[in-house]
Amino acid sequence: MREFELPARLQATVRALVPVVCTEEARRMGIVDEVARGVERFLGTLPAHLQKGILAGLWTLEFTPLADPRNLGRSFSRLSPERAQRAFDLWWRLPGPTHQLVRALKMFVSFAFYEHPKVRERIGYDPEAYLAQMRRKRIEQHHEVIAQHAEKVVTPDPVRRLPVAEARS
Amino acid sequence: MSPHNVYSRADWPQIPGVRTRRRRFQGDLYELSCDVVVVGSGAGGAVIAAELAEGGLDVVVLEEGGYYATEDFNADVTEALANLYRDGGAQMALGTPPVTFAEGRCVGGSTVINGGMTWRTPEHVIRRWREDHGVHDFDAHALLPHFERVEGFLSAKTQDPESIGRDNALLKEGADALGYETVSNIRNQLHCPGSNNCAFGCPTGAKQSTLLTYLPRALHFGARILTHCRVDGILRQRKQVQGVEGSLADPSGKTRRFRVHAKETVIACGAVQSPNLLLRAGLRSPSGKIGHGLTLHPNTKVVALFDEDVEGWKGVHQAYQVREFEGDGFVMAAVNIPPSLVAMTLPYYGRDMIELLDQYNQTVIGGVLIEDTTTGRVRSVAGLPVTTYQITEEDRHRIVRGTAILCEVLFAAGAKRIVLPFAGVPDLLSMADVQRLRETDVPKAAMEVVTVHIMGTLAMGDDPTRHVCDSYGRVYDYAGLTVADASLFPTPIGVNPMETIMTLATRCAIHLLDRFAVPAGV
Repeated sequence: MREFELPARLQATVRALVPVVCTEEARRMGIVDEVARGVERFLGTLPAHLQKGILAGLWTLEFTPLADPRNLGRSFSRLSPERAQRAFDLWWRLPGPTHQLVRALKMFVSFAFYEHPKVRERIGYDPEAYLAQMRRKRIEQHHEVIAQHAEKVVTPDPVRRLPVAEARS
Repeated sequence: MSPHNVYSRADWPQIPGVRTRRRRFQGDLYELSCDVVVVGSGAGGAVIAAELAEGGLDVVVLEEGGYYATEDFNADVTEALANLYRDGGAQMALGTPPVTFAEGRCVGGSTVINGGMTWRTPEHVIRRWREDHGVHDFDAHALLPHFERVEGFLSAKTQDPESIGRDNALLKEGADALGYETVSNIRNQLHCPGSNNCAFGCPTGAKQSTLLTYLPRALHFGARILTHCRVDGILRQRKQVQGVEGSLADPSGKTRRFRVHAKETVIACGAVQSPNLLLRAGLRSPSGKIGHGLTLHPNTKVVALFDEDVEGWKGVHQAYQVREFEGDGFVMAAVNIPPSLVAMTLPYYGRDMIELLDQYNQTVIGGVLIEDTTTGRVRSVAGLPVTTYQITEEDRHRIVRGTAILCEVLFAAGAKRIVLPFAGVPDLLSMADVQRLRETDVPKAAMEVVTVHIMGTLAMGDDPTRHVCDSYGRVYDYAGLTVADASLFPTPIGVNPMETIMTLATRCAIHLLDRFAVPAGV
C-alpha cells in the first residue's frame, strides 16, 4: 500500500476532527492519533486528484475559523473542543459546498474510527476470529469436494472442439 | 507467492520471449509477441483467456493490479480498498446525484470483490438484444451450453442452508409476511461457510472468482499473466490492430514501457476503462458511439435496527433476492457491510452516529437495485475516463418506491427504526411512516446512490451505425480487435451481470478460435 502522509499542520486538523466526528469516546479510548493515522492510510488508497481536493478542503477547514473574531485568531486545530464542535456543526448545517466538504471529512474520519480494532471490539464486531473459524470449518468438512473442483477447473474438455490445436497439428 | 506463469513488474526482463530495448532518455522498453493479448483479468478477460489458451493459442493477459491469493484476504477494509479496488473504490459518475461506483483492480478483477451472484441473462433481455439489437445466434437454446459451461467452472449453486445468516432470514421473513416472491440466490461458491467478506476478497476460498477458476485454467493451458501493467495505447497500422502498449507501475518511480504485439487484441477492462482505452488510442467507430450507452443499475441502501441480535456479518452475503418487483424494474436483498462503511454513509456524526453503530449487531442493511431507464457516457479527458450519468424522473420514482417497499419488508420482519439514504428525510419508525416516505418528493440531489454494475459503453449488435461491436465483440471497422466485457451490453439486464459477461466472453472466444483455425489466405 502506498504511504500517504499529510502535512504536520493538517495532521493536527484531523486529530482535532476525530473527537468532533466520533465524540470524546475517541479520546477516552486513547485512539485519536491512531484514527488520524487511519485517515491518512485511507487517503492513500485514493487517486492523486482526490487527495489534492481533500487537502484543499482540510486547509480550508483549518484556516476558516481565523475569520471569526470569537475564535481569538485560532485555527481549527487550536480551537477548544467546544468551539471546534460548534464550527463543525455550523458547517454541517450550511447548504452547498461547505456541507459537502465536512460531509466528506466526516466520512473519512468515521471510516478510520470504525476500522480501529478497539472500536470494532467495543461494538462486538470481531470478523478475523470468525473468518479463521469459517476457513477451518470449510476445509475440515469439504476438503475432498474442494480438491475435486480444483482438479476440474484445469481438466481439458474431452468433447470440446479445439480448432487451433487441430489446425496446427 | 505467485503461481507459475504469473509475472510481476520486477520479472519483466526474465519473462520468456521478452526483448529489452535500452533507450537512453526514455527508459527501457520491453517487447513481447503472442497470438492474443487480453487486457484485463476479470469476468471477461479471464474467461476468454482460458478458452483461447485451451484452444491452443499463445495468450498473454495484462492486468493493471497486483496478484493477491486467498491467504492474503482478510477483514482489513483499508487494505482491501488499496490492493483490490481501482482508486480505493471511490470512483464517481458525475450527475445529480453523483453515483459512486467501484471496480476491481487486481488479478481476477471485479470477480474478486463482487458478491458472487451468478444469474443467467434473463429471457426478456435475451429477446430484447436479439430483436432490438440484432445480436446473432442469441437465444436461450444457443446460449444454454455456454451458461452450463460457465456455471460448471464457477460451481454456481444456492447456499448450504447453515451458511445463511439472520439478516437474510429476516429479509425473507418480511417478504414472506407480505406475500412477496423471493428467490434463493445462485452464487459462484463451493460450500461457502458464510464469512460475508466477499467484497474484500474471499478469505475462505469458497467464492469461485476467476482467481480460482478461469485464471488457473488459463495458466494450465499455457497463458501468461503479467501484473501491474497499465495499458494506455493500442498498436495499429491504420485499421489493423497489432497489440497494445503501456507502462509498468513501478514503485521506484522509474518509468518502464512495454509493448505486446499480437495477432488479436482483446479489451476486457470494464465498461469505463475499455471505452477510455479505445478513445485515448484515437479509435473511431462508424456509429460514433464509443463510450455511449452507459448503464449502471443504481442502488440505494437502508440501515434497519432490530431489537434482536442479528450479527449480519455472520452468514452469507445475499442469500436471497426479493424478486416480486422485477417486472417493475427493481430487486432487493440484504447486503451486510462492515461498520466502517456503514458509518461513512450514515447521515449522522457525533453522538447520533455512535449510538446508532453501538447497535451494529442489531442492524440489517438492505439494498434496492434499479434497472435503469437512461444511459450515461464515458469520455476520455487527458487520458482519464470521465463518467457522466443523470438519473431520470422515472428512475427517481423507482428508487423511492423500491426503498419504501424494502422498508415495508423490514418493518414486517420486526424493524424498529430505518435510516434512509435520502438526506433530510427523517428516519422511519413504523410501517405508517412508510406512507409518508411514499408521499415525500425526494429530490435527486438528496439521494445517496452507489453501484458496482457498470455496463454498456461499446454496445454489440448487427448495425455498425448503431453499435460499436458486432455480435461476437469484434470492433466494427477494425481488424484484430475484440471487446469481451460488460461494455458489450446493449441494455441493462436488471440482475447481477457476471454470468452474462462470462457467457459473452465464451461466445467471443469460440468465434475467435474459429477464425484462427482458418488458414491464412482462405
